[in-house]
Amino acid sequence: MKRLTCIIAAMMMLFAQTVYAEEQTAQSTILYTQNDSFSIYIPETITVNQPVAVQAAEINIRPDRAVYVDIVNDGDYVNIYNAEDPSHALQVYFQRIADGTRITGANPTIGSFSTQDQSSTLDFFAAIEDTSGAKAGDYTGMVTFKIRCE
Amino acid sequence: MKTRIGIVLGIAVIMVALVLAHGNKPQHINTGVKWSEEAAQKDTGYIAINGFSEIHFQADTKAQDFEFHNSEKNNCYMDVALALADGTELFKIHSLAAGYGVHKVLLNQELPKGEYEDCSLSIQCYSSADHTQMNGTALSVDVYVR
Repeated sequence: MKRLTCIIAAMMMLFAQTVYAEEQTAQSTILYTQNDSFSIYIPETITVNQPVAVQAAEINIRPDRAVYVDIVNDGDYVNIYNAEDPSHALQVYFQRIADGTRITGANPTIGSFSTQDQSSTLDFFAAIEDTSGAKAGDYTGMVTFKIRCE
Repeated sequence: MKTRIGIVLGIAVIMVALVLAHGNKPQHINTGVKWSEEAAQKDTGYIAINGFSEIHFQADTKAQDFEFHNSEKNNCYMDVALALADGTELFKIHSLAAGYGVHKVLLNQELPKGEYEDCSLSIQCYSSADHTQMNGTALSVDVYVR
């Protein structure tokens, strides 16, 4: 009886088959956003009637975007003030060198940069509208550049 | 013998006090820390502005992760302030020296979840030599609060 049982068990093992559980897979979406980044170089100071430039570097932005640089004007001018008597001011306007057009409150953009033209510069210069009657002395003022990526 | 024990205990108490005082030193936010140990040649005539178009904050908390630095190439200090489109100031960083930056800021107020468009990061620059004001920048950014 024991011999018969062993023989039957051995035969069962010979014909045994491995049964696998049915494989299942699932997927998850991985999301990541690399934000736009760029470096803009603005002039420390601007001297009237001398050309000056805004430059860009390391522009890493979406291909459908550009970095725009505006001059923040009070109307169409930036005021500069006599260092010894600030009650005396002169109005400075800005002009694009590329096409000779003025940078105004309605059109304040000097130019733009994209990933394709990182090596270009935005060239412009500052000039005084009217110096007649200006009080003698040094005049100073500040320019604010508005930078937007869109 | 008692004198020696007293001296040793006294020194130990002082050392523990010093360690605790250093450990409890409040962490400064909205002030700059050294950004890079690399020396850089100063750029003559230009101010480098590190720009971006988005800022991401967490809702309902004033302490935020925010990285900004004044390039070591610059010859100026920077006052940096973030304001909403209606002019409400969210934070201000004073006198950030060239080569220094921040990793965190403390907002003036908590912000609820939402998208805040047309915010402005103003960067006022002052000469490192004589602190006279130089040209500045207003960086247009959108703030996303989650």
